[in-house]
Amino acid sequence: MTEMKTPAPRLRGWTVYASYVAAFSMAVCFAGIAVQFFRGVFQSWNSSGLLIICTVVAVEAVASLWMVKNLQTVQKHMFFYRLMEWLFILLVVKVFTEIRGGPAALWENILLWRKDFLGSFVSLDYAVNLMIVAAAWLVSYFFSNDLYLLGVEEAVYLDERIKTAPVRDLILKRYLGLGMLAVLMMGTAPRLMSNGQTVITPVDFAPVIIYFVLGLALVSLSRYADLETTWHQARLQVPTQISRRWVLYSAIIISILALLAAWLPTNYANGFFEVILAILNFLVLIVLFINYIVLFIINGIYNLVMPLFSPGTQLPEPTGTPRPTPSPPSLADTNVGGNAALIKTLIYWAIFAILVIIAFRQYLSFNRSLAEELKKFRPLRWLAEFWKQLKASLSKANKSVGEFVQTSWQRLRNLGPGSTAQSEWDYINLRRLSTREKIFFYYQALLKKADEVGFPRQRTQTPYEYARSISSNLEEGKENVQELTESFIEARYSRHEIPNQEANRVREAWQAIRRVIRNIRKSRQEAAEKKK
Amino acid sequence: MLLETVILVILLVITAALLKGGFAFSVLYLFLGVYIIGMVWTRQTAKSITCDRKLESHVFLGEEIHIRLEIKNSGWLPVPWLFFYESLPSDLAAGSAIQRVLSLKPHSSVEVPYTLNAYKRGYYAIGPFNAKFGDTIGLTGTQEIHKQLDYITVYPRIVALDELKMPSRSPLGTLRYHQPIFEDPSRVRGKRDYVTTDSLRMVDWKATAAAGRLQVKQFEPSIALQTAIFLDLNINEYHGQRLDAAELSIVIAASVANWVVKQKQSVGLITNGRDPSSAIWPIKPLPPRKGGGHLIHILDLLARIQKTDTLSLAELLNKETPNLPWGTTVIIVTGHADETLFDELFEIKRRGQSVMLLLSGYGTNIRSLKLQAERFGIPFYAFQNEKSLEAWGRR
Repeated sequence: MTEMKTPAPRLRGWTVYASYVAAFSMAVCFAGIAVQFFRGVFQSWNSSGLLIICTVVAVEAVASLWMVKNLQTVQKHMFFYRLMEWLFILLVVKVFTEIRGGPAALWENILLWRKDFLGSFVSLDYAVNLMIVAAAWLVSYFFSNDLYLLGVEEAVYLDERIKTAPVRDLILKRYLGLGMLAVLMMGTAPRLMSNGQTVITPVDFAPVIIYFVLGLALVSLSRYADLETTWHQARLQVPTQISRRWVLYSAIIISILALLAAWLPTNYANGFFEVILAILNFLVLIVLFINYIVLFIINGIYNLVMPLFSPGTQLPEPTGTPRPTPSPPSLADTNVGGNAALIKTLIYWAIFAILVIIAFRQYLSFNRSLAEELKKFRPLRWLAEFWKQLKASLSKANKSVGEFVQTSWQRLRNLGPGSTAQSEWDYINLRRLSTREKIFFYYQALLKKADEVGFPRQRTQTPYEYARSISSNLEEGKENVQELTESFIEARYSRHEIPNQEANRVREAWQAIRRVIRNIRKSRQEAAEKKK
Repeated sequence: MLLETVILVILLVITAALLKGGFAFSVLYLFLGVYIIGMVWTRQTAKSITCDRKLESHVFLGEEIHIRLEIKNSGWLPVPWLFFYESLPSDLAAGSAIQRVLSLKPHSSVEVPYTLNAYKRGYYAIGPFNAKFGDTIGLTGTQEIHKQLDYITVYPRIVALDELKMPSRSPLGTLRYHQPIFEDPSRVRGKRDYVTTDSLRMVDWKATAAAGRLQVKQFEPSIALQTAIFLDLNINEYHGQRLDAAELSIVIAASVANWVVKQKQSVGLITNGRDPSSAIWPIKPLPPRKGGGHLIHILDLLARIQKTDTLSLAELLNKETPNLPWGTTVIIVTGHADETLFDELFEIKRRGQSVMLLLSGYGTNIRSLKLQAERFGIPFYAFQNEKSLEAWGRR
């Protein structure tokens, strides 16, 4: 019987056992959710004690899987083994269903089998119980099977299905798929249970919360098992501290999250759509209020201006009952269950929406393939296009308003008494220049005036070369040109302080040169006139 | 998997919106929390993990290379797992890579030491270092960090050469020489009586006054050994060799350069090989210089250099030797010699430079080459392996 030819997969210590415990606990939780659902569907159904049977069956599923995988003889007669196993489960569930009414009830039911076996054996209670037990068994079995495969080191023991899809992904898919089913069942169960009255206690939805918490633990543990298998395949030494820290960190994270989920508000005064309606009402109210203000101003101006055009005519006094003056709409008119509750609900939904958007964006940033798929989805593409256009128009409007405001502000500044805008007739105030700048100015003046009389400076000429070239033409101002050039070079290329006296000397030199240039110009004009 | 998560979140949102059921919110909080924690954790960790590789960038052949990888977590979040993979050059390591898995506490570091052996001359890339890590739940995927390559230069083997007779025509150096035409006026050997053929510039007036007759100074002849090693790494010159004669040529070049620098003479290296660390080809010649620093430059180049098939030795000589000063000793290290090469060597000799031919491997008929070299007056030596080089250096 205990012939073991197939090598057993290596277990990774207690993390693997913890995974199995999490898996069958999830199966029990799922059964609990199913119980909640069916209690709503079948009011007369008795569900007492069913979870104990589900727990036993879930444990049996794990144990039988281990036995089947490890014992060669069982594998040979798998069909008969499973048949016997299920016959046994059917009987146990039947006994459990009937014995809750006492041994006499069970005996009575057994007596009825002879007359109408099917009708008396398969009662409503029994069928529902069996369905839930089967669900627990299947959940436990599939999770255990996945976990078993996760512990296998050598690829030869993996079947084709496992080779193409990592085992951990299977576990995750199963967890999320069952989670969806659980949410659907739990979402619809309370309404059915209380005939439309949504009175739910935290105990009622405890199984679904526990299911998801345990699922996260299972996902974390399976992640570790998956990584550890990979590391072992790569012949790596895995330090023991990794497993310890892994469990510690996972426990901390999941505990914090469970506490947060329990602590954060889950009830709100107004539903999501009610809040949207309230926001829309509020926006309409603002528009009406603005409209009222504008009309009030126009009315006031009209009343002031009209008498000016017809001074002699007196408007007839209105008779009868006076018309009631329209009053601006009040915020209290749109109160939905009190302002404080509305604001609280609004904040709640805003935080919730922000969280969902952040999580979704981050999720997309991690999963580029999904982002690409979503981009191809036509309605989303239209939305994106609309948003793009809206953004562009807003940006354009913002830009033009900004420009308008800026130009208007500039105009106002220019109109003001302290306008500092420079006119195009601006000139250099020599008194405001530094000594160094004054010398630059005189040298530039020399270049300009000499150019006007036909002695331009070539681009390749240094100041000294230029000085030599014009000295021959400005014979009278030769020394002054030399002095001005030297002062310019000192001012241009030195770092020391230039005394004020230097600027005065340069000015005198420049004035002397200017006189010489004027004389040249005058003599040339006279010569030209003579020629004429 | 992606789809399931998205559908579940949508389902939860709808359930939460339509029903005022608290459980949907609680589950949503759980999921959002897991995603946010996972993302923050992995992203923060990616920012705070650094890897530093400490190593000796230059080693000699046969030495052990001790490398220390320091993986540091400078953040306030722990790293539950980190798998890293460091690629190693197969010529230096017995295994092909270093891979570990570890866990890091906040503000902690792990040092992973490993040793490589400099079995072979070369220029080796260490890395890249790739590390993968993530959170413990694993719904947000993993992150990776990379570290760029570091390089190790393994110098070629240097055979200690005791005494080499290298021809030189550079006068006024620091090496003694036998021919009196290279007399160095700064190296006075002694004095003797004046004879009529002596130049008056050689008269030692103080000694003449002391001796009472004309005395002239006697000078010691000396030469300077300015050497340029031409290393032939054209792949065609080593074709059909039983052993990697190109490697032997590199060892010869390194040993000769080392010997010349030890003699406090200048040495340069010109080669037609390829430097893998540089995009420039042909390699810029290293002109003759003195000193240990210059020798290290030569050894660096010799460590990195590889064979090519573009420029022949004769072409290289024709291109580079005219740029060398008169009297330079041109040492040619090659695996093959033929008529074209000898013609080129003869031209070099005629240009006033000395030539020495060192042949590595078993490629050609050494006896006939020796005779031919003798005819041209070129010193010729052939080396089959490093032992024969050692023997040559001991003579």
